[in-house]
Amino acid sequence: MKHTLAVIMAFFAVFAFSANASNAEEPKPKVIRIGSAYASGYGKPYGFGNAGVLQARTLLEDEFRKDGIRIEWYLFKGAGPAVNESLANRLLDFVYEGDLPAIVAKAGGLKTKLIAAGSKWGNIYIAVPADSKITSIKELRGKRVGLFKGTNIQLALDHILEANGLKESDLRIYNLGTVDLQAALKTKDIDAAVSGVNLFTLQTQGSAKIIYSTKQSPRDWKTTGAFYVTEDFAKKYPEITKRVVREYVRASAWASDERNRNGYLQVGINSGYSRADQEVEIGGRPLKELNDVTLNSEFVNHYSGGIAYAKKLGLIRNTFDANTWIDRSYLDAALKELKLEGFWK
Amino acid sequence: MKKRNIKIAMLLLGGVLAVNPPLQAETNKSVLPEASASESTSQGGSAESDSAASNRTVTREELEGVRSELATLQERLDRTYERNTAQTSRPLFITGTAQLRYTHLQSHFSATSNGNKGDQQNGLSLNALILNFQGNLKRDFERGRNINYLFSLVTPGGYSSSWAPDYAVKPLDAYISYYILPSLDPEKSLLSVVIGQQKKPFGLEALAAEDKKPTILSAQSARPNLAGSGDASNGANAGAFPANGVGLDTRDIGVVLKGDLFPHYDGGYRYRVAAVEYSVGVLNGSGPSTLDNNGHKDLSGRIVLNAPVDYSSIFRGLSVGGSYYDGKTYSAALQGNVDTRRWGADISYVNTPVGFTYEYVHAQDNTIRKQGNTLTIFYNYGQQFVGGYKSQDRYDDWYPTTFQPFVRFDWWDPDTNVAGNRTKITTIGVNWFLAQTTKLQLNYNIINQGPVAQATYPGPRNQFLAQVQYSF
Repeated sequence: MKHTLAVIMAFFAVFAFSANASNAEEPKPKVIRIGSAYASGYGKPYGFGNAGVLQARTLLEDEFRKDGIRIEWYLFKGAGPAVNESLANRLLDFVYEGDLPAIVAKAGGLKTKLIAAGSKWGNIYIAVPADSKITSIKELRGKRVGLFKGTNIQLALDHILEANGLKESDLRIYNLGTVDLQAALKTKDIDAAVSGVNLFTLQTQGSAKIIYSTKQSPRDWKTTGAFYVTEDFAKKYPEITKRVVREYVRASAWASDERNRNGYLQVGINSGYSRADQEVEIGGRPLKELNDVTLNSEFVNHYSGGIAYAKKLGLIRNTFDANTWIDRSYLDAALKELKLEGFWK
Repeated sequence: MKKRNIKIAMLLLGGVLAVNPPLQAETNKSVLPEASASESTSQGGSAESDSAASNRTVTREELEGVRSELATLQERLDRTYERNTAQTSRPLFITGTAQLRYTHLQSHFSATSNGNKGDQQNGLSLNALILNFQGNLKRDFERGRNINYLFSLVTPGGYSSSWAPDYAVKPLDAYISYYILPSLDPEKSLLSVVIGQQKKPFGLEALAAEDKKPTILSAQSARPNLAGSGDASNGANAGAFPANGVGLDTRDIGVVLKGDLFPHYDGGYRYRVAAVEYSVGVLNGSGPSTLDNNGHKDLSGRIVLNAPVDYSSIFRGLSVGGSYYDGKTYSAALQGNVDTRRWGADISYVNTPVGFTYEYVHAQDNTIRKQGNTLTIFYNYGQQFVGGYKSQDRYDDWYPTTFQPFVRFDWWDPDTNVAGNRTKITTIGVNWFLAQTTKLQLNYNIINQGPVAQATYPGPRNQFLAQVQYSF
């Protein structure tokens, strides 16, 4: 018996040693750099959305502490375009950003892979000063409209304008960041602002009113985010990439659980959004729908349509196949490992 | 048997725990607040009374009390604002730059035939203190056809022959600018006019912003021509030897038209580059802060062709430029005007992390022809020149550190008719961008002079310069 146990233990020891040896063969980075466009812009170093939850729960820090790998988070006030600029300069390994900037980056030649979804079907809102006579989209013709160009909000706005017989050139678009938009609307330097849930704060304060939201619009008009990895990083560190995606999925599963609703809202509060504004944005939607990470056909079609639409609008010169951009392997492995294959179905 | 069963049970339990990471995760990874059941129950009773209290109607007295407090606060703020706040009649933005320099020369000047004598001491100096006042005089919210102003002061304004700095404060820039074409749409061309004392529209290095210049000293061609002029500031500023250039980066008073054509806008990066940039100006030609001394107006112009590519293109930052200057300078010796002409060509590739610039300048002052070449190669370790990266949501005063090693080769011939007159300066240096508006520069200049240059303007063979430049 003792002899048998010794043989079994020796076998496992050899197996464990060779497994560790093969794992040790893949080099490890000293740092994993994650950039997020989902930053409020209010100066607080906390993101929101699926990546914001991943950051708040320190899942990556806990996961990679034993490897001695440092995690660095970059939250860009310039949103998607600033993320792309850093990507182009090889300053990031993973990014979390909206559909349009990611499409523009890929179309422009940046080598990224879309590895998981996030922040699905977010709404955009159009607000005017509280005493404005503007009540409809059509009345925006010729008016000064503040918009954070290059972000996923722009693509959503273009859908809205097209449905109302307008295009961007029919408006006088002012390219303004989130915080500047609100300030310009308050001082009436612009006639309307197009942005996200942050506009509700102005409505609450009585300085603006929301005249349009995409809550009743086709889902394809809404915004969505996703998680990406640079091809270089994935090629060099496939196992590390797998582990990062696993923790991303773990964070998303936590955020999708209604029992964690308070905690999820706290992530947004830390970033600078009030609880009330977030509740309005979420509405009656289940958190599971909002934080769904799966690359289902609806999501893929949204991106395929986004690529074609961006080309039609002249926002990109080259098109590409969304299906070749997407790499499901990491997500599939994470869902299987965490036994969450049916969780978001 | 019993012990064996216990061991098997422990193995099975360990196996169950090992293959169920979410179970482990939930117990030790919850870091965000979640109300417990007991907290909810204990809050239930008080919640009812809180709810009733929050639904109570505000009384007239309470409302009047709030109004009274607001009025008191408003009065206090108005009084504080009137008594303790500097006020301007138009929006004003005050900035400044200071350069603190250390110079170490390998050898010193000795008396020469042109009377330039003195022994420049190694040591620290205040090289430049600049104060800028800028803002807008008229803001066009509709189309951005704004009228802006800039007025700046500088000291020291020059140096005596014994290297003593002249700390008289002098105007540096003093101009207004007006956007003739709307300036709010990045996809449209720009056109503006600038009137007043400003940089001449000539050259690559002369027009570069301070944070873009890798070296402490300007290229030789850009330096003022002070040698033998009898000027009180003969001998140039500390370390800026030799000083027999054509003053490309000195200011002048005039009217300059600036614009661009065929802008290319990459919205995915918020990156704008115009295929053509141009500027043309009519200037006094007499230098800064002085009247026109010959009644003749000089003409200066520059055109730059930029690669109209996306941000991610390898050709981003590639530019080819040409400059031309045609004027007349009054010569006291000749009691009349002499021709003053310059022309230049340049090519630059300013990308991240690597880049280079090359500039050729040819000048003619009366019958004397001069020419110079400057080649600079640099490499950036850091994100100083990645704009969006520097703007992040951070609590502390975070700023990415950047090191920029570089090498420059600078040839200058102050008189092509004279052989052995050329000076070559090789500069090896590094810039350390250590905070948002602060950089430390270290330069080592290796100076090689032709025999005639050495005899005419004897000077240090090598120089070491260190400079801290900070702005606010």
